[in-house]
Amino acid sequence: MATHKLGPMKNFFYQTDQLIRFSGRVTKALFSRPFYLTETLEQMYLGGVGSLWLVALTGILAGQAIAINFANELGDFGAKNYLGRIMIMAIVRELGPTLTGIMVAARVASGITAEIGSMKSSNQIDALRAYSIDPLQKLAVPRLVALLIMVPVLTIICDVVGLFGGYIIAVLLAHISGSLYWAPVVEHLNFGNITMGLVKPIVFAFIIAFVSLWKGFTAEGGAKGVGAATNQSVVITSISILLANFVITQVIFKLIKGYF
Amino acid sequence: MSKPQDMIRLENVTFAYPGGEPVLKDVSFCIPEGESRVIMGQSGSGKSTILKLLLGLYKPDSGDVCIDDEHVSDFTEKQLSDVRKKMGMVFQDGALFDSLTVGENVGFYLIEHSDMTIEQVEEKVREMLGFVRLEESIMDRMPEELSGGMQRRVAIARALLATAPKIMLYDEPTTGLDPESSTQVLHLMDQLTRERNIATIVVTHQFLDALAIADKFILIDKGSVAFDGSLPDLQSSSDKRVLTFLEPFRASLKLMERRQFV
Ligand SMILES: Nc1ncnc2c1ncn2[C@@H]1O[C@H](COP(=O)(O)OP(=O)(O)OP(=O)(O)O)[C@@H](O)[C@H]1O
Ligand SMILES: [Mg+2]
Repeated sequence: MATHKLGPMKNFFYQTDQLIRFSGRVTKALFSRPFYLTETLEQMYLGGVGSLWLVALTGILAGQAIAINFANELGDFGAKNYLGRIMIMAIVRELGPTLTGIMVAARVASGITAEIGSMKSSNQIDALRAYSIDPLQKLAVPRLVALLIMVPVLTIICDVVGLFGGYIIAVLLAHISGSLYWAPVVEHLNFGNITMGLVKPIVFAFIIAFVSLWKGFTAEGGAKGVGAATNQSVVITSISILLANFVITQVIFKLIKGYF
Repeated sequence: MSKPQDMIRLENVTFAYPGGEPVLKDVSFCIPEGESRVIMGQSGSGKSTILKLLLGLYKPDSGDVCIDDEHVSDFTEKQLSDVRKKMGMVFQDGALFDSLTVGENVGFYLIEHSDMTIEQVEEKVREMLGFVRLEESIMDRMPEELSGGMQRRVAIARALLATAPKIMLYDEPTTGLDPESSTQVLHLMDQLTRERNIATIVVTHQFLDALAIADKFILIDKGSVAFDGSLPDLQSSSDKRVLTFLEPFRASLKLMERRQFV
């Protein structure tokens, strides 16, 4: 619309402003009644169970790839018993959350934007309001809550599977005993690593929900517009996740440096 | 100008969608209680937007929207939900909820807002499907499995079961339908208007269908009211916008007139 006439920089700020306002309204709806439990459970099932195998596969492949690299390097220094320690840092702090976040962004964020966008362009959102149902409560909140639960759970699954992938490499290729691999893993499952590993997926869940819902609710111009919005939704969530990951790592190190 | 018995009144309404150019410019008209109107106009002229303002889905940037002598422009969402009970809306293309079955669509309002049991709602849905002459067996089907004409009738059933409205708003109820489905939908609308005494506002660019529904017309041109009055006035109007709009329909209109005199 008229916003296209703004320069790219102004347009960026305008869009960011709109996204923040929208996120505020969704957050307000989160704390209003009624809460649609059935819809939330349905979304948890669709997004969570549907992404399970994808996330598990990603986790085990990534875990193995890192383990192969580090097992070789550490072997040169005779420091193979550090593998577990490196694995937990790489996976629990960084790869588990970001890979899960990006997988969910690709699968769930695109689905949310496409579904809400097509409801918008076929007047179903207006129809909900005409029947005195708040679309944010009925559509946005269940998806947000489902993501807030499912992204951390999927991340934990990705972590576990990834560490297990490292274990397979440790035993089969690097010839490290299981106990030598697991002992440092367990030892470094400390407050710092766990905090880092759980704060990230929660923030990512907010990013995925807010961006994909916002793109859906503001989609315009029929099927073509919904397609474009879906694309943008995946790109924006993925980049924002990587950006947020960087910022959160910095901030958490600053705040609780002594707990790692 | 503001007569108290007006059911619907728009006063100098100007409206733009967020971040867009004005879609409606200084639109005023009123519809007395029990009367019906057809709102016509080219695609994109702002017809659907007028209906959305009547429902309070959007608020005018300036001017006033009155329903049954209530200024809905400054109503809260809660107050609006009471006003909306007086109005049944059939959206362009039906706007059925595509994740719900036909039965859940028709019973939507009761499922969401009443204490009725599922069985009671189903009973009402069956009754309503019968009224719009659809078979009960489609209750468990999904909207996308129905033909366009059936979808419109389901949408009418959903609007009626919601609230027993005093006003029905139809957005392009016959557009894209084959002549037979079109006739069925028009019949149903006519029956509602007469038997249940429901005032009707129909948005359409099918001028010939418009003639079957009401005898008073509002023509919207690029967001402004170009004409507001009866068929004879419309035909004798020398307004350029009216002439342009009627041009494609001249031949059929002449034909109809000739038949009336035979
Ligand atoms: N949700 C929206 N956001 C932004 N602009 C919109 C929105 N809905 C409609 N518009 C724009 O407002 C103008 C009027 O739209 P409206 O749907 O009221 O027209 P219409 O007369 O009903 O057209 P049609 O006969 O094609 O249905 C159009 O230019 C349209 O692009
Ligand atoms: Mg329209």
